[in-house]
Amino acid sequence: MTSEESIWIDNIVSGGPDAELAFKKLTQKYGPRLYSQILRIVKNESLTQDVLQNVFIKIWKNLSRFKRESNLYTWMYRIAHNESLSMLTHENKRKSLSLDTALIEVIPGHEKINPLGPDEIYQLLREALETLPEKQAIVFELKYFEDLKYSEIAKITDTSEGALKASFHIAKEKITKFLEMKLNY
Amino acid sequence: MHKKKDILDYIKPVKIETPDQDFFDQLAKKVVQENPKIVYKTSQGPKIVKWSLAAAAAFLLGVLLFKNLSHDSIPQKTVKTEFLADINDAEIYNYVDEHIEDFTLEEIEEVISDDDLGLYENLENTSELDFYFSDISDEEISTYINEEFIDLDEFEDELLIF
Repeated sequence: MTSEESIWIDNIVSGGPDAELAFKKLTQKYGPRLYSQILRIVKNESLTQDVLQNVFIKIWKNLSRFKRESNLYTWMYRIAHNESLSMLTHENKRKSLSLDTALIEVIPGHEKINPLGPDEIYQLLREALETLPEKQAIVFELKYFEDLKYSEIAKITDTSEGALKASFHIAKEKITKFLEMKLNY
Repeated sequence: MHKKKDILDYIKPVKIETPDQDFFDQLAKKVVQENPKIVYKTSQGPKIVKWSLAAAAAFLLGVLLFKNLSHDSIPQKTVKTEFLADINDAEIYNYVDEHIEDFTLEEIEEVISDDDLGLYENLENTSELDFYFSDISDEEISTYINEEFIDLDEFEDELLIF
């Protein structure tokens, strides 16, 4: 966590005159990333905005409970993940919801994937991601979906680049095995 | 040699277009306005005053305790030695006699010498008692005892007047 973020947290928790400005800066910094994460789960822009608002309400109200020994983004990622799944459960559209916009492209050439549509492949990919431990899932999302550099991910997650590379490699292996199993290799 | 592609190499994520900065600014503003925080103000002023008062109270208590303890440590002269030193025994006896009802037996023992006490305890001659009760008839005494519910058994070791 950066010193700047630490000051934001202090201001937000205190609820004083600087709280709103600090919260605005926090939202500007992490809002887009959380938006993408939520959209990848709920696969609907309208629902994404609802979930995102719920997430930031929880952040605003519960930041005093955040333990500064852990990583701020990891804490927010967890809230966003749980709120997204909760919304899907509530809407009862976990598997039936169709993509408003394409979230993946299929590159022709793989005999097992070719017969499947992007929705089906993406659904399998999401299921695979749900099997990963939280930290591996975060690294995979930031590297695979967001295409961030390891140096950028290291700043966000307070983790070394070496650890991130190892974590991504393991995550990718697990997802590959999961997909191969599902596609009856 | 070509590296073997794994399944993920055939799946390419599409970059998501996120809303502009204004969307997130409005979101933050809305969250803050619809969820006001309760601010508990704490100031140093009242705290300092509280601690000062507590310290002053503790100091005062300490002074009072010390004063009381000091006062208790000073040996007290007995009433007999200090206040009665300049008064002769006859005057003391007369005063006690006139105000006999105001004194307890212990207080009387303090001001009457052991010799005089022994005189009364060993009294065989009832002449002085007769002197005190000569104006009171036996009937009056009996009536008094009955009206006051005096249990004579309590006085079996005492010198009964009749």
